[in-house]
Amino acid sequence: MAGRGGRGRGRGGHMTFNVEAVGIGKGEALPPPTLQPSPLFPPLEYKPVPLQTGEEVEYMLALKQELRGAMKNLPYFIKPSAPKKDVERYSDKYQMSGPVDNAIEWSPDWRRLPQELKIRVRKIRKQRKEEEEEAYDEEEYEEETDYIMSYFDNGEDFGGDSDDNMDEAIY
Amino acid sequence: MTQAEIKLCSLLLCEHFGEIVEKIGTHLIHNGSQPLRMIAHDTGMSLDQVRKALCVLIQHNLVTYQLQKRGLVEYEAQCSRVLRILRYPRYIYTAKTLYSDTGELVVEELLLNGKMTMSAVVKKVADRLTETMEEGKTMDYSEVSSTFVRLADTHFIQRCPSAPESPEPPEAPLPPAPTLVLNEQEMYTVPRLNLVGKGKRRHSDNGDDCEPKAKRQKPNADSKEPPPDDGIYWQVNIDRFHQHFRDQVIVSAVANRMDQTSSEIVRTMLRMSEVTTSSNAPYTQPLSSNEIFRSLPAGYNISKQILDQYLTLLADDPLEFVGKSGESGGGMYVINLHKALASLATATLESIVQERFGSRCARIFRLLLRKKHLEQKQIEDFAMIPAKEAKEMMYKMLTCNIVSLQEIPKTPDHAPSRTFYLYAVSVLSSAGQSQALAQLVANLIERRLHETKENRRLLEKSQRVEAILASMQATGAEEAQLQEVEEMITAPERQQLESLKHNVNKIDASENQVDETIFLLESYINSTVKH
Repeated sequence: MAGRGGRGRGRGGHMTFNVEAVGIGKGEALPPPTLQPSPLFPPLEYKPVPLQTGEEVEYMLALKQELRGAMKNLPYFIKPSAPKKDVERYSDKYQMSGPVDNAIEWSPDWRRLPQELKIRVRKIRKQRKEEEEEAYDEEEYEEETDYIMSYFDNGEDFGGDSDDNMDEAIY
Repeated sequence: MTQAEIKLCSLLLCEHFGEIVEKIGTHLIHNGSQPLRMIAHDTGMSLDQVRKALCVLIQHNLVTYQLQKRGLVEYEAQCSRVLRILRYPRYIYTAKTLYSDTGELVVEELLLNGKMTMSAVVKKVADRLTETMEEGKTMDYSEVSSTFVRLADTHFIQRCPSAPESPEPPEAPLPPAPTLVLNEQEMYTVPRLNLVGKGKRRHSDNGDDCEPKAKRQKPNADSKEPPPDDGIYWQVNIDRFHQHFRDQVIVSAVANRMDQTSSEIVRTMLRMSEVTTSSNAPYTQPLSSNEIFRSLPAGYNISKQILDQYLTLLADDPLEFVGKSGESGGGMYVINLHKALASLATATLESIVQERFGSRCARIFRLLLRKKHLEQKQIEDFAMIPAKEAKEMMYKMLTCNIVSLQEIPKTPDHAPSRTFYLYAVSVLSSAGQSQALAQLVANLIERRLHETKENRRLLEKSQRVEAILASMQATGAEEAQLQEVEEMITAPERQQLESLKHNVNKIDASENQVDETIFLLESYINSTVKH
């Protein structure tokens, strides 16, 4: 057997190695090629053992579910702004309005966070010219106010790129 | 970070912080550290959304930032920290077993909020405890603070790195990002606070004497001057919890192997070395049997002689959880933490193999553990399994990364006929099972989401009915009316809800249990990597 070698032997002709080494005996048909992915839910050969039970497990389960529920109601859970409705409904007026897109609902300690994360809340302007504001591009709008602010603020920070930082402290 | 782990991270983020945070978090995990504008650009989200998400992630210690050259701030996700969300229930439970309900709520609040000041925690916890107490009773702040102090003393909670004091001239431009400093000496020192007060009920309608007065004064005081511990934030010390879990696992393993008394001795030894041994040391500091004797819990009546016998017995145990390091002081003993974790991880893997591939595969697995490297033929012989079946088993285990295959060519041409193929089990690499386990948890979460999604309409309906019932009960409706509302959910619907609840509970319980296995394998890997 060793003399003839596995190579170039009849049917197994395409194999570059001794097929017997992988457990296919002489004269046995090669397994058919696999043409499809393995099943998504393959049958279980061994049934899983039951889960642990007991007070500890029960309590931890309750804690897990409570925690998940609690997290959903905290301000850290950022809900995407509600999609625009197809038609304006009468009842919309009485629905609780969702969070404003650019307002943060909790109060982070800004001393611990990079300056650039500070979100500018535009309350005063909003009341005055609500419609115009929406037309503004975010960046343009900021830069415009930056200029005014730095101009009318103290003169010390005038010029240079330091006023880029200053405006955030003002808001 | 493997694909499966990233997937799990994103599922966890989505479930706890919503889609937006999930998107940003996953993006950062995928791409490493990035500056703000790049994140916004790459994810195509508005700058404000990204800012908000980053604030949340930083608050919860899931993302860190670093000031780069030229004032650029880069954000980096802490992937392994995100995966810890899965373990939150266990941290809370442990706090409860150690420090009762107050400890439970302190840790829970800290986990829910990422980081908090001590005064905020104490206030919140006192309020929550008061809420659960009988009418007329309240929780005192001082009681909560004392639990808080005990948690800090035992290092279960720690201070966050603090922001620098504001610079002397207030006009000076602030740096783009504050550099947080960790003061190692003060990490567990609780600020001296004079917290006086009682927890308040949310709907306190007992408007007698001084309560309302205090209530009106408090918010004023709050808004005017910052709390005395302003800027000192606390977080849960996850490593300390892990150390505690590890000790628990070792103690219960000893209890199972020998008996209750020996486990109590090991527990004492571990408790004694809690402070002296760093959490990732391979051995505890040597303890003399005299020291151990003195530290045994009061009421544990064993004589010094019996203790010595137990210690000798423990040191002679082939698993080598306890080792003898010297003769002085009546015998010096250490706990071989690394060895203990290795034995536990091996046992875990063995049982995984047994339950997934059957006892014959487990036989091969144990064989390989003992003989290290074996050729296919040798495995068949030693395990006494017919060649064809043995091969099938080996290939199956090989595809699942349980065993590894090493080629050792006799000649440089790597010809298969002149090559040794050696199978081996490396516990460390199969501890890479954690990838499979992450996949498993991800699958579980996905299944749970699917179950709830399928039954969304039903769930909403039952919530509505419950809300109606509650409001009717509050207004004092008649029994018949209540019954009528209750019947809005039909019997088959009720049945469906029951089975949904059962399924979700089962999945959640599995998630908790899988995490225990993940913990064990991970601690073993960590204990190996560091040495």
